[in-house]
Amino acid sequence: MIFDKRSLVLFFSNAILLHLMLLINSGITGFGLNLFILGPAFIIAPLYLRADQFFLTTLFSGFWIDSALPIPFGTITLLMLLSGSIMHLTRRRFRVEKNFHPSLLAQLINLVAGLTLFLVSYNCGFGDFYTMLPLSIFEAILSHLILIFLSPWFFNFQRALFILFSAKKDPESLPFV
Amino acid sequence: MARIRLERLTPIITLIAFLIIWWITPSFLKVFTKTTFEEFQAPIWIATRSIENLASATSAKTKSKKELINEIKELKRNNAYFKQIRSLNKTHQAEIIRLEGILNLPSRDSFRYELAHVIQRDIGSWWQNIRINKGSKHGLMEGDAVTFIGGVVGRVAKTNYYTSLVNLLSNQNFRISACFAQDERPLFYQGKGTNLWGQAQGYIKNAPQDLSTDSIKPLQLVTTGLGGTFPEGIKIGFVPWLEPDNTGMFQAGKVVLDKRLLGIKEVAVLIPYNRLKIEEYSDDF
Repeated sequence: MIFDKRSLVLFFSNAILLHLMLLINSGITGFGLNLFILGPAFIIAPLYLRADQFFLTTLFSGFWIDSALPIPFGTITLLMLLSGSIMHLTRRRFRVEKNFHPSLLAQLINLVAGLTLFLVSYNCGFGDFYTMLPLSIFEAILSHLILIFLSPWFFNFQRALFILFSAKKDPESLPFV
Repeated sequence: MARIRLERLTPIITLIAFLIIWWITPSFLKVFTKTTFEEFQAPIWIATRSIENLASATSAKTKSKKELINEIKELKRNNAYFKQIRSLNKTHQAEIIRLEGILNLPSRDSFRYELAHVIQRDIGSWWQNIRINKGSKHGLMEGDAVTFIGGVVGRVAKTNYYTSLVNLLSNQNFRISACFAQDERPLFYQGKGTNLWGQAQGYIKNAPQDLSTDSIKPLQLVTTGLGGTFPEGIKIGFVPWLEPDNTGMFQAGKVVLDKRLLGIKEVAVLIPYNRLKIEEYSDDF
């Protein structure tokens, strides 16, 4: 297995996104809101990397996110691997050099991840369903509005890091590795 | 006949293999992995806190001399006031020790206070937690009480070496025995998350029927000291409304918590002396 340095770049950029999200959430506690904007962290690895590299990057990113959030360990990792595998299989359908398709995917996966976390938090007894639901819907709407602006910036940031670290800036041999 | 390209199935095969491995992995290995990642993240949060301090110090430098002089005046006043209180406390402490000595009473100091900074807050519809910059290295253990200037903050839910996770008072998993300020009968308190307006709240059950309250002069809810985690008489919140509960024998009501709880920056963790003594003895053996 030849090591692809884009794996490291993607892992660190995902960690930065997580850290930014937690910092924002720490700062807006006065409003009692908790934004979830990790959708873009799920996208570039399966669309750009080979299967083995995608798996390693996603595994470590997932563990990093799981250990930072108060959820059962492995929830985000499994979700990232599952969604990533589906994206990896169908990646020839997406134009990854532009931001439109990745941004749409980020919105979709963010919604699925948010819903999963809502159900997990509810099952763990973190809140009352009828208290949680309206607030969660409001938070989800706000998060997705922020993602409209955040996703393109984040994807451009990751591509800029590829160039900065002299890594390959195009996706791996499409359609399949 | 077209060849089947097995390479295209690599991600799915890897995913299935991973799921099987994950399923059979013992839970202690998962806990170990999680703890390892958490320990790697701890320095990042502590560094973030230091950067915030640096930023606030830099912004303080931009203040004019007049503003600084006014702040110094205010600090001097506070300093003088607290010095008086400190000397008064010392006198009281000496008197307590003297009386305890005469009456052969055990010491009332059951806890030592470990001050900590809040380095991360997860407060929203899903979670009601904060992370502090003190951990097992500083003697904290799961279940320790956490307080601040406005009363109870919560309970330590998990400790790492340098950091700890605290379940807030508004967390659904936070339950405690409580009583009203001038009524010693215990009742049950539980967190209830934040409402739509972002206010932290809780609720009480098993309140006696002879009590009444109103929003102008709400009853103050405090800790009972039962259970030993929290000392007696620490403020939890105010109860502006009581109504008969579903049994009809008691009353229930919502608890309004301190607004400062959501923007909390510094806390004190109460570490029991007894536990420290037990640890010391166990080391001796």
